[in-house]
Amino acid sequence: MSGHEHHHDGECHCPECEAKRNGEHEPTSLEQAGGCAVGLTGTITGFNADAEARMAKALMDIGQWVTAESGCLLGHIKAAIVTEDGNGITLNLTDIENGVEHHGTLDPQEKVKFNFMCAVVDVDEGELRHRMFHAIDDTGLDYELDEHVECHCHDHDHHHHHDGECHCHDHDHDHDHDHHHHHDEGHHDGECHCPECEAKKAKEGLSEKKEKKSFLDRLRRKKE
Amino acid sequence: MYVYILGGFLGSGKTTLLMKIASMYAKRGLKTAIVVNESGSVGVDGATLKAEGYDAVELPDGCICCSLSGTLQSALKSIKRDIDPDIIIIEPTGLALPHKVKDLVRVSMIDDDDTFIIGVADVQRFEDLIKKKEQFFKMQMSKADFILINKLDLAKPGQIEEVTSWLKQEYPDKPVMAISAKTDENIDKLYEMMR
Repeated sequence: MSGHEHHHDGECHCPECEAKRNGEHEPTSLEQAGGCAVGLTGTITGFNADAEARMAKALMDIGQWVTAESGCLLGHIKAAIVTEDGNGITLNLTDIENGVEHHGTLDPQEKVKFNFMCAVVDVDEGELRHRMFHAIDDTGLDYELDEHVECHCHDHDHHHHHDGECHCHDHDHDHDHDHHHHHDEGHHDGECHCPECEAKKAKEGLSEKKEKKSFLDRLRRKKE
Repeated sequence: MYVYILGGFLGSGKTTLLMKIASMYAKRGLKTAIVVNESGSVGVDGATLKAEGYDAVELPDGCICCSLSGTLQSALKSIKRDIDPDIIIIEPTGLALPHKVKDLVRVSMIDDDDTFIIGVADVQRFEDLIKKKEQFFKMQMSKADFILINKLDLAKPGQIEEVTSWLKQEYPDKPVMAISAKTDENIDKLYEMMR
């Protein structure tokens, strides 16, 4: 299915194509409503009633976050947990007071697929995705996501930048302590700037290496 | 062939209502096709419907009133060709504008006898919705053939009257009825209104 229809004049006349042809951006209804929708998919190993309850808690965590962020929960937070043949259960949260609704039943399974989706208004889409990722992570379930979710938070409490500099660590920087780090675009030169590394670099004269890095190298690194 | 479009904001109970209507038509012996749309890249309503024993065409990752308009037209043509149903029930996302979906059904050339929009309003969250998204809600309800105030079972005393009065003031010509798609209150009256 191409998604676009072609009429006898060889053109597609859907609102999107008409707007494109006229050089306009017709706002989508989602934009008009100030809404956003995020979905995560993955697998859970060892599904049982406890896992279902944990997943329901993840929905509730998101519902509470949306409520705190936008003042009320206008939207829905849903999850489907299904077996290979597509049979399973769904969880649905539309009102914090009503709680999470459970539809269907599913016996304990070794492996199940899950869809976790949220469509709400007046929250930041990137932040929502991030919160959803953490909500799943906090369940303690043995899960795996189908796609990598960029997480920009640190798992330690050092969020102070007295000197206005970023001292976070690079992904592939090999420290002997076990911080996990995530980088976003914009403030990274591919180097680690923690005091320890800065001192090490000064000692080893790594500034020369930095000069040798081409723009393409940095671009490649960012992509990686 | 009649087409019903269920329009209403996110979480207003459209999927629950859809299942009830589909079940009612199945009991009448009419062939019914279901199209569900979700804005997220992953769909959940298809799984909900499957869990309840319904088969549906699921169109995720966009909105059939705008970004997936072509996809909807293609899906409708396939349904007409492969199933040729008596009834098609379309559930757009809660962030869609149903009148745009109706326009798309019309230009899909599927020879529908008529297309109706059923507006669905959630009594429980009506106040919040009007406070934050009044304009959008009005756009959603503007072309509805009739409006259902859903979740009657969860309404607090006086809420139904309040919402009815608001809707009657905004849309004096549209029939307004309170129902509970979940507990079936007034659902028979709704069936009587449908062809």
